[in-house]
Amino acid sequence: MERYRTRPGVILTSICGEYLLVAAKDAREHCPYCSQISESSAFLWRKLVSGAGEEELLRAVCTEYEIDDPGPARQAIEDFIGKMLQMGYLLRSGE
Amino acid sequence: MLDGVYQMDIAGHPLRYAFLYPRTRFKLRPLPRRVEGEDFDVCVTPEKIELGRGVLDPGSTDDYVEYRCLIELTARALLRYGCSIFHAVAFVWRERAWLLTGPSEVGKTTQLMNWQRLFPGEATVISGDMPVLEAREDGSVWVHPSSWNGKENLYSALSAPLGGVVLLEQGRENRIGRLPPAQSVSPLFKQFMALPETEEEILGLTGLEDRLLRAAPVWKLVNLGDDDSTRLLRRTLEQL
Repeated sequence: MERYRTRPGVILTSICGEYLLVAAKDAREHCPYCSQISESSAFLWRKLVSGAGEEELLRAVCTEYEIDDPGPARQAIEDFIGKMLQMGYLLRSGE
Repeated sequence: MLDGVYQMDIAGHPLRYAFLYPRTRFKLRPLPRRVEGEDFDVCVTPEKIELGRGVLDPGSTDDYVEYRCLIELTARALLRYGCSIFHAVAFVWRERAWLLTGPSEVGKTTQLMNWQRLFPGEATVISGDMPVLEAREDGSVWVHPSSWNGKENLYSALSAPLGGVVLLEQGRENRIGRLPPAQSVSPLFKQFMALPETEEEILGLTGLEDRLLRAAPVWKLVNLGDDDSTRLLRRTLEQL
């Protein structure tokens, strides 16, 4: 199972209940300065910061949002991770 | 080499500058005064000068490049006081400060000029390009002048509590509507001139925007830049 780590210098922050990923100085060379993300994405980001892998993310999401069928949730997590990798906010462990 | 340390008060807060080029300080208002000591808050490095030169007109003088580079550094230095520099036209109307913001060339100055022509004596400019926003302990946000006032060099010594923010967008019609935080957080964040380098600075900047959005409403004005768009803007703001 692949694991990920958030890029050093990328901070999740909240403004009036809206969530932003903001990249500090060095991180800005690799990812956008700021991106607004949803509440559920912010939930996933916090889990990734604490070192969760995909299965842990799935369990956490199903518990948090009381989901019985994990299929769509798994797809949503894969989509989120793919997007974060593409944008440069997330790194594969070992990178 | 650096020519001593100079202090300038911005939004009532002292900042100490060391300049690479002696003529730069004469572009700043109020004129920075020489102070004792060697410690400073803001200094443009030669590397920053080279980066700045890359985005300014090729014929820009050294002191002008330094003057422009000071915007971002000053915006960051102000974060410790709950302040920063915001890219907008700021003016006072009915004892409140109003911010017209948006990307360069979107028509911020045009709206101000229209307003001053259509409604003479009503609006007084604070800063034509880079006002300073200050989050105060009572929850209010104040708008102050700065030394960076755009091509037209529009400014005054006025400060006022924030009344509202208008995000401008050019369009094929004139329409205006309130923007909820979900739609205003990201575009307004990009209008702050501070590019934070640390987590502390990021939290300072996002904290300031949080205060801004709690203190004042935000509208989006899609507009043609004509007189009707300015009348629409004024009608909307006066209903507040």
